[in-house]
Amino acid sequence: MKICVLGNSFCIALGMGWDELRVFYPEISMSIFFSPGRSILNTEIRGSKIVPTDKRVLEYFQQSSSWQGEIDVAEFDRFLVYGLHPVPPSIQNDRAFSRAVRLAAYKERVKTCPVLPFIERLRSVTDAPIDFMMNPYPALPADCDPVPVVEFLREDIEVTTQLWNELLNVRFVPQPEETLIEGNRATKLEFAKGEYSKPDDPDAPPMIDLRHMNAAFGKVSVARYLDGLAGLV
Amino acid sequence: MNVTPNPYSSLPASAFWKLSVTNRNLQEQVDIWNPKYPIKPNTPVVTYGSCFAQHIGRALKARGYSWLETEVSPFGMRAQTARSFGYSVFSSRSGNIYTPTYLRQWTEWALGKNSAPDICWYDKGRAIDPFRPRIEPHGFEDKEEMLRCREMSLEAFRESIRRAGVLVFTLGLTERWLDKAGFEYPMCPGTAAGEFDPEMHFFDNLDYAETTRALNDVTAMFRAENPELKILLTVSPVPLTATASQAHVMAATVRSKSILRAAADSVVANDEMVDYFPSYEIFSSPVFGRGLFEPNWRSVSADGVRQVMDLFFRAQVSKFGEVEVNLPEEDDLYDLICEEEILDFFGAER
Repeated sequence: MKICVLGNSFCIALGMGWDELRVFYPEISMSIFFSPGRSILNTEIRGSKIVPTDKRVLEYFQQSSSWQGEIDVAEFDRFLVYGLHPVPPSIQNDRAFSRAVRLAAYKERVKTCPVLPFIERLRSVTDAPIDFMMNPYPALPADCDPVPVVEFLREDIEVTTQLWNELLNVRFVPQPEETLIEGNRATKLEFAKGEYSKPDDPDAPPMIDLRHMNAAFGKVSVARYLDGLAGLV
Repeated sequence: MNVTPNPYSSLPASAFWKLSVTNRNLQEQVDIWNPKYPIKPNTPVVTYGSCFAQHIGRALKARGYSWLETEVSPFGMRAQTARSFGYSVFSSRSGNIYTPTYLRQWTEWALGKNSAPDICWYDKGRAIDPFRPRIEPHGFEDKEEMLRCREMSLEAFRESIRRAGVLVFTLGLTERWLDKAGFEYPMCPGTAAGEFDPEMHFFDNLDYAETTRALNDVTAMFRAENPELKILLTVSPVPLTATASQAHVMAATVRSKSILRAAADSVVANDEMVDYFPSYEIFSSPVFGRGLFEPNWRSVSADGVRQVMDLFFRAQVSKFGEVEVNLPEEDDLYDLICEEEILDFFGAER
């Protein structure tokens, strides 16, 4: 099966995870295309191809895969659109909301999803299955106290899955449970990219990235995703 | 005429009708308000009260001031939908608070001085909060959810009082509806929701003493919670939609607004940290008011609000100097959430 992953910088963790896992999945190929932020929206469909309309996206596509920048949709069996949609903050206390408020928010979150126009374009040229994963929940430093929302997380996943399916026949893929602080909208610190040095200033104090994840996160995410596909067959 | 020095001879232009009103247009009325304290862009301001308070919160936000919200809509909800559920209308999801006594009741509940009753109304199987009848457009799932959400809103109200630098309260009405247990409702039962029970519910029209006492009680409770809190009162210029007082609605409006204005004056005169902004005076003046209302002579026009809020900020600048603000992105247009408008429905057929 040939899977095409499209997204933004959050795809890097998936790529690292896939590098470690590919030997275990000889029947699967995964091509990952990403460009920063929401720049993947700067693409258009020409025939069966997704073509960057901006040079930066083209360069990123070329760097992130061995392809020449154009993506022929017809060559893939399945698509995974990853990232490009922020997630609710870990401090959100869903208990404060009525069910009507929560449902309205889930619905509008899908309808105003920044990547929706891109998925619509993709859907217009392929009947192949499209999967969608939101950004990972940011990791929380040890001294933070997230609001436990376990029952609402389940509801969120259930309703969001239904909404994406109804809207564009897209399969919503939630963040793997084992990467989350139990019952919370926060990723375990061990999965965060964490400390890193600025490439242009290695002597500067290290930065801490809690939004982007590491290879371990990518490995779990890819494994759960592929396990999920096996379950669909 | 031979004029000798007298108390009037040294007064500023603002003290004379001809100099400050006849010879000036609205935008020149900078000295119509002499603010007691500065409101800076980083001062957390909370707003509560009648429909008119929404204009103030909105104007503060639009001009890059720190309008504080302690109860926000969930992530992903659009601004317009959030407002339809009572978010971003006031600083927390209190719904409209028209009378000072209702503000006192809500504050007592929020600060744990009294308990809110667990009365619940129902409409087509959905639970309605009698004390915020329009906060959920289609009601709550059940009573338990309604009470839980109200508790959250009371907590958010308390939080807003604790964190605020300035609290703006617009005084709307003296007319109110109570039940025999003594609980006040923001709307007459049977109008926005619920059923009116003549054995249970009754009308009351606050007098000056009751209004002043309620304002003083509220001020004291706020101070106990936040000793640094400054309060800015203003009487809403929006006339009554309907009156249950048996008087003509215009006469009832003047009575209500006069009592609110006088009560506000009494509190302001005795407390250095309580100020009054004359929005009612500007709108209701025949000199300026005509162009500030919509054709129905009840709703204040967007342009009117803009002009009056311009005066608000210019008076601040005039007294305390220019401030630097970072303007936010333009907000989308929205309707004000005004429960009292519902009363208009009952007069529509006649």
